[in-house]
Amino acid sequence: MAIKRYLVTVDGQIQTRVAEVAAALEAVGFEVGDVFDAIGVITGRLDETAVALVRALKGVGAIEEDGPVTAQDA
Amino acid sequence: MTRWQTSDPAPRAGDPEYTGRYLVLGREPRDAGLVRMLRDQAGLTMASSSDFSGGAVDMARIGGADGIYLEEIGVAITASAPEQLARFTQSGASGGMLTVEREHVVYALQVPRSESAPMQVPAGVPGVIGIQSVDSLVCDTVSPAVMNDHREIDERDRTWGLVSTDVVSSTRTGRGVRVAILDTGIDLQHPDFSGRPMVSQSFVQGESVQDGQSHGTHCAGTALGPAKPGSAPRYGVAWEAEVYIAKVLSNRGRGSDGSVLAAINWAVTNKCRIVSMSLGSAAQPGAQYSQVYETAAQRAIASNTLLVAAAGNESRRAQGQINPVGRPADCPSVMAVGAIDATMQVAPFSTRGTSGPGGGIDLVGPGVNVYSTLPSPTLYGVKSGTSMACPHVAGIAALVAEANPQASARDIWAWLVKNAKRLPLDSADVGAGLVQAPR
Repeated sequence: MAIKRYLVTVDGQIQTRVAEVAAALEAVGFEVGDVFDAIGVITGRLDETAVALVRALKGVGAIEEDGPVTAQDA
Repeated sequence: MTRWQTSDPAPRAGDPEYTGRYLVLGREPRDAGLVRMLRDQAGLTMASSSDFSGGAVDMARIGGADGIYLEEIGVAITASAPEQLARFTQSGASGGMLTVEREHVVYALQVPRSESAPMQVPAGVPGVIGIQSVDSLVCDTVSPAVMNDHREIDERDRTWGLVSTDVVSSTRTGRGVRVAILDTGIDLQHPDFSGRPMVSQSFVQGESVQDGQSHGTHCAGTALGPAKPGSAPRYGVAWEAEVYIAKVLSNRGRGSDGSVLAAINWAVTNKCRIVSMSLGSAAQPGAQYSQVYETAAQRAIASNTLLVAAAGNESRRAQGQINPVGRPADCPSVMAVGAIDATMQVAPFSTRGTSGPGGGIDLVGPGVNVYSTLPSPTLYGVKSGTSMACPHVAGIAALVAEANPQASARDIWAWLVKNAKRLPLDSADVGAGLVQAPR
């Protein structure tokens, strides 16, 4: 059972959907971290075995694993 | 071989190369009448661009049709059928048509490399006295000091980057425009930013906005530094823009997508018109761009916020290695910035655009031996990277935004691309060219 950090985008009209989708995510075991209303993105933690389930939820656009970024000086 | 596929006749040297197909320009777009006439009078049936999702026509998928009609621009690309087209144009039925032309073969532009043909010395680059190709690296009779020590280029008053992008001639300052720098923070004590109103926020757990790494201070300096720094040449673009600093990279220069998205959300909420992201991760082979970043970028644009990102530094062109644009710069809705040096050549580390959707370089900026601010007590220094090119574009975008307060993020993008200085280099490496500041 591997719990990882994920990024989820909310489909459609984000103003009305974000809170709904966050609730739907919690209902399937997604531990919501942050909710970014202005860009319709929710971050949090989830067991990786549940990713496909989240992807199939109504209102979810995409789910991707949170990854590292680095400064781009050579 | 179908009528659509033509054999390319061997071109004679000096002749323009033709594909064998024809372009028929109609009087107006979405002209079903023209399409009907091509069928009835010239015997040519057209597929329609509206048959393709998003208008993304695929010439290989038009079935038995003789060509394709581009609805939005009102142009038909037809198979080679000169006799039929001649009959069509001569008949009275061609009223809906303006002109017919032969379709040319077009190529990306590339500077030819040849041992025997000396390259032109770029005009107006101080310190450059000659150039000769050495393997795949261009530098030479220039004193090696130019590549390794920027002091050989005359930067007593202003950096080479501000000259080459025409920032020094611009009357614009970025006044009234909010610019967010997503990075390692900033040196809050730096004298060049003292008294400058600033909004800052850390998105790195356990770390303050104070820059403990130097990268963020350097990038902020390039985008937003003062017109008359204390005892240094001018190095900054939008000296009156409103400074928004988001720390998304730790003092070790590392962060996560989550922090970056949090800061993008913050910037949009705070009505920043420009977001500069000198950060990223290498593109994975075979993987498409991130839907999450792309969706976030589209929503930012819809809220009038333009995202600008460094294209990535994975290439080692001197060893023949050229890597693709990284994330999130590879998103179609994020402006990807590559790097050039003071001799107007692509930086050896700069990535290259792929042919897939989104993965292109949009513009290049100065990214080799770029002088800007560093945290106290050092105060100033030189860095290289697509990280350095990105804030040049972001600062110039702020100048454009100031000049056009009603402009949308897409308008600003279009202006930057349209007014870039074309370079005699592969567009896969430089996009539309070197960013230029507005008057």
